[in-house]
Amino acid sequence: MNDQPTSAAAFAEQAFWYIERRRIADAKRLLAQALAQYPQDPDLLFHSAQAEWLDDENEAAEKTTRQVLLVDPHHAPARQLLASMLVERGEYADAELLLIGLLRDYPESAELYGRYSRLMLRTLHLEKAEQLAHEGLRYDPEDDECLLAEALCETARSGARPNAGLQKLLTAHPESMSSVHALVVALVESGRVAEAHRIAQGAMRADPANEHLVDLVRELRIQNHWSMKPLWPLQKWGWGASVVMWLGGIIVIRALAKSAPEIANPVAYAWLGYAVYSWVWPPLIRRIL
Amino acid sequence: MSNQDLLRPTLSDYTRPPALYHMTGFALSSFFGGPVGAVIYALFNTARLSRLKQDGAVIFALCAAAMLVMLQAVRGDGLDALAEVAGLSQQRTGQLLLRGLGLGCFGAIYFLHRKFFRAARISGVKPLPSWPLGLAAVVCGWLANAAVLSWILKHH
Repeated sequence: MNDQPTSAAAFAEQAFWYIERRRIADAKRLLAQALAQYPQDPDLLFHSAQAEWLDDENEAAEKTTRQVLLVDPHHAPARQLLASMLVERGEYADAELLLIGLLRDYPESAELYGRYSRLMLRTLHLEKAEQLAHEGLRYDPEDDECLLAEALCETARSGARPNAGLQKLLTAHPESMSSVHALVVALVESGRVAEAHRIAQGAMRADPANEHLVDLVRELRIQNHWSMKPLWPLQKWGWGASVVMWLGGIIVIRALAKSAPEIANPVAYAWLGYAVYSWVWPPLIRRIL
Repeated sequence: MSNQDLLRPTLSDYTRPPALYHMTGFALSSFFGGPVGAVIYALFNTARLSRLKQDGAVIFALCAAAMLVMLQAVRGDGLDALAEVAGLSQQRTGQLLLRGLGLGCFGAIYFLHRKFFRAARISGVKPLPSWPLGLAAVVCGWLANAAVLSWILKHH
């Protein structure tokens, strides 16, 4: 990849090669050089926006994406990128309009249905999210965006119960990041944090530049830390465990106060200590680790 | 839903995008505010989900059922028996029972909305700040509990 490209398309191809490998600095250097020669080329501008977006220069990325759309208003990847930016910024309604526009132009694109489904899931419209994922899978039964959306919808609906959507995703794309994401989410929802941590760690080794994975592994490492082990019932059963802890604690301490008053106080202090630990330690460890 | 319906914008109908208030706030409001605290908090969550029409009646029915349980506990001498076991006054036992019923309402409403709570967690949606709502739910719930309890104890 050291040969000097001789056309805008060749520059774009090489920039994409760098971006795919997360060599963002190299991609940016090449794109700066290319845009000096072809300042209005939509693909070069688009890759430039992609590189800025991946480098967390969100404002610049949005500006460049809008520049692409001025040059070529139908540039589909730029419209998709702009939709992703709007979702990140919480401008969901505008992102939805962009995705609907894209779907009207590409009505058989399973990937677009998958993206729209993810947006609906993010805005808590679970039924529409499921229907969009199913619609996308009619056009391409193995599309990973749709399979991921379907698996996440099923996890949201059924929690720790067997998840056919996840099974389909893992069978169709055992090596993809979407599978890792869906599997980790399902494991965390079932309270199987140690397994989720191991899988996310493995995926991070394969793609160490993926910031989303790094954040995920960090969070799972915290949840899987030895000092968090005493809190496993609360992690596994969430608020159900909290309610049982409070009600159970009150009843047990009251009963002990009547039947065995000499141990009622130590038990009450231990119970209170556990409750305080469960409130204080998780936010503290997030700051420490 | 037909394909055309699927491609009809959903989010432009909202002035604010759907979201949920913090779970911790919900649990604490239910514990300290009893059934009324739980219902106030849940109604705000339901409004943010735009599901008042579907879930509003169920939530009010849960609150009414909790109050009926309280009433039956007093009428059937269950409260007296509980007070004796716990070694507390009837008033104090009634307050604790209302808190327990508040947690029961929390559990039932969480069950009703669990898929939305899970969807929010899965999608990494940050919960809405819940301090003002939680505080209001606790204060209103506490006042309602005191009023209901004294009315029930006085008239039964």
